[in-house]
Amino acid sequence: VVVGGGVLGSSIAARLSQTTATVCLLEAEPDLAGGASKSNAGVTVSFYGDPGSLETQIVNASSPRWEELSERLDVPFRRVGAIIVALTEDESDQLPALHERIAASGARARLFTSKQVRNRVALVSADCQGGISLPDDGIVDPMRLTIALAILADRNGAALQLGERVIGLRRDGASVVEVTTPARVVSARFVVNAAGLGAPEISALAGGEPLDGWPRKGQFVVLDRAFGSRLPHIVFSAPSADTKGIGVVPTTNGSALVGATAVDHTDISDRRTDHETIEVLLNHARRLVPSVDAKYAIKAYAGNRPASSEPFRLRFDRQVPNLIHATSRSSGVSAAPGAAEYVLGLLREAGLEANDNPNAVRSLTPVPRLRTANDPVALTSVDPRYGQVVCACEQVSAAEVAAALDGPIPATSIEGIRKRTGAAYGRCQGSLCLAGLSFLCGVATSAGPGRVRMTSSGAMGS
Amino acid sequence: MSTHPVVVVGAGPTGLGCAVELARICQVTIVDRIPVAGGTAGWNGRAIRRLVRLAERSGVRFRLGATACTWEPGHLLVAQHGDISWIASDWLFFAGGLRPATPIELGLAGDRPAGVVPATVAEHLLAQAAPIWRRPAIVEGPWLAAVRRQMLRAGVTPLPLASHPRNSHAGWSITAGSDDRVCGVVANGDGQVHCDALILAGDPRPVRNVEGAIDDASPGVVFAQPNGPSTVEERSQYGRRLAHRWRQTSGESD
Repeated sequence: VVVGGGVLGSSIAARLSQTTATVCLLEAEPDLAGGASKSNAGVTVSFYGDPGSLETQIVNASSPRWEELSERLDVPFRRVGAIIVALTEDESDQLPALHERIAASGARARLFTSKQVRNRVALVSADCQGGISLPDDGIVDPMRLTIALAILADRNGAALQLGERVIGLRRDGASVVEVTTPARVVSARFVVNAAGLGAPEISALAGGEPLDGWPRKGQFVVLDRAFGSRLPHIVFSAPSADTKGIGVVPTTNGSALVGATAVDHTDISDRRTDHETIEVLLNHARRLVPSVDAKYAIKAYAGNRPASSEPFRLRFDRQVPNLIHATSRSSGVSAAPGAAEYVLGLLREAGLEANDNPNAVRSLTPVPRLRTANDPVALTSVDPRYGQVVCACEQVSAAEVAAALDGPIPATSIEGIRKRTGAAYGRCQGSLCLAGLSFLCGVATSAGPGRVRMTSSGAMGS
Repeated sequence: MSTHPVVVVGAGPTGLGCAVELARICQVTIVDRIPVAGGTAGWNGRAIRRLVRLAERSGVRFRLGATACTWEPGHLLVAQHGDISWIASDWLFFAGGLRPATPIELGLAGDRPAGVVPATVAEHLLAQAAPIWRRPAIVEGPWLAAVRRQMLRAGVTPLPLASHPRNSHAGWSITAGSDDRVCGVVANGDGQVHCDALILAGDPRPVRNVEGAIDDASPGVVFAQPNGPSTVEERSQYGRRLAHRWRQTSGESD
């Protein structure tokens, strides 16, 4: 039983579903990718963590796999490369040490002069003092990735239960034997705790070791394609005290993200943005890339990632012998493919019969997309509804919306459609298409205009 | 007479005005998402019907119920049910109208709950005169009157919120309730206004949704999106004058 339908839980469930093991995935929210897997920058890093750490080992194992994985799962991915930019002499002085650390971790990296940086990304500020190029970093659509992994698990016979919060874990002796949700009791030989911010609670319910964990809020600003289309690489700040981790990141749909901040707090439900932080983000981004402008801002959002004194946790519980914890405060997307393989290894060592099933489904049938199709003119012969554009900003057609609403794990809210298609993600934020989306969603979920859900749980009407 | 093909996107009064003027020297096709001409002016008023007839008589071709997707100088990708095709076009006149400002454009931060709805969408949701909100707040702006009328008809009195100065990023924030729906707005530190919907009806912005015709400087594109003129006559005159000036400066002539 895998608890948590984020990118780690879905990836682990997908991998296990391709073996002879019987898999169940439980997710508390009505849809997948609701937590940190939704609100991240979608960067597949080639370097994260310390040389020699498990996190580095897993990220290194994951990084080369993205082309193959994204192709099989019909998930947008581009290996765009990243540049870490030093803006001050202080930052520049730290680059050689950082470069050594990156090289020691096994990732490809090159020290760049300021001229080389600006040759690579002309948009970078003239204040640039140098940088490090990370050619193997990439960008992926983290929501499409999570959902595709869960669909793969579903196709291979895994039982997916959405909207079912785990409320109890019954033990027989030291081991967990049953997982209880309000709707069912699932017997379990092993439990994988991939509950993200809920991981400490799951461990406590199982009588496992006390895990520490708290929400670390990150705010992002999304910039329009009018800007994002001119940004060929990920641009990160050099790590320094005040600007840790803020970058300007292209996305797979052509927009760009500025973010994220990192503020530790205590309220898991707090995903508020605030004016000061938005201003700080834009100002910082402008220092890196002067053409960043508030006029390109489409929206701001915030998410909480699961921070902990054990930032990357992929191991058995010390008290409950059949409970595995899988949580990452930040590298979840980047580590997902390798983490799934690693968890399978742990389970096999612990005695789970999980032989690879040669007949397992390995790839998903791609859904063509109007905006990215090589020959859009040919699409109406696949489905005439490709010609019916619902969301004009993002060029999402009625055929794609129908695929999201009728898919193996159907969207049940407007947000669910957005995660699967990008509809209403663009510069007008739904002012032209939300009515159509709410109608289509209402028809599919038998809900009237007031009851259609805009977010995964919030209704359009009161 | 020149036979340069030109596409006008938007069959509202402005687009029709452009088309009528351009038809004097070009082969004009007018494209609109909605299957009837008229845009926000509606399809059946006397003034708009007269304008449509004038365009027809001027030789303007109509391609209605079709969405303009992508502009590349020389042609425009247009999609409608069962038919996606490129239309040859030397110039694109974009008369796609205005939309309400988004939360970030209004300087609205805070939560992102359900129930925050652009006025253009609220108009559709309220069309059945079914009250889906009990205490809606409206960011004031050009769409306020129409939305308020519909709400009053549904028996609900909306709460207008004075519009926020542009781009100050220093104003309001949205509060969500436990049901992930909007429950209040804090406006300029004036304390919380309780509401169960927030309708964005303020600070009109030009719609920009044709790929390749997003930037003001997009090659081959003329934007015709007046913010101010409101009557059919004023907007069509605006379109005609714009197209006329373009003829004189672009060297396109009969």
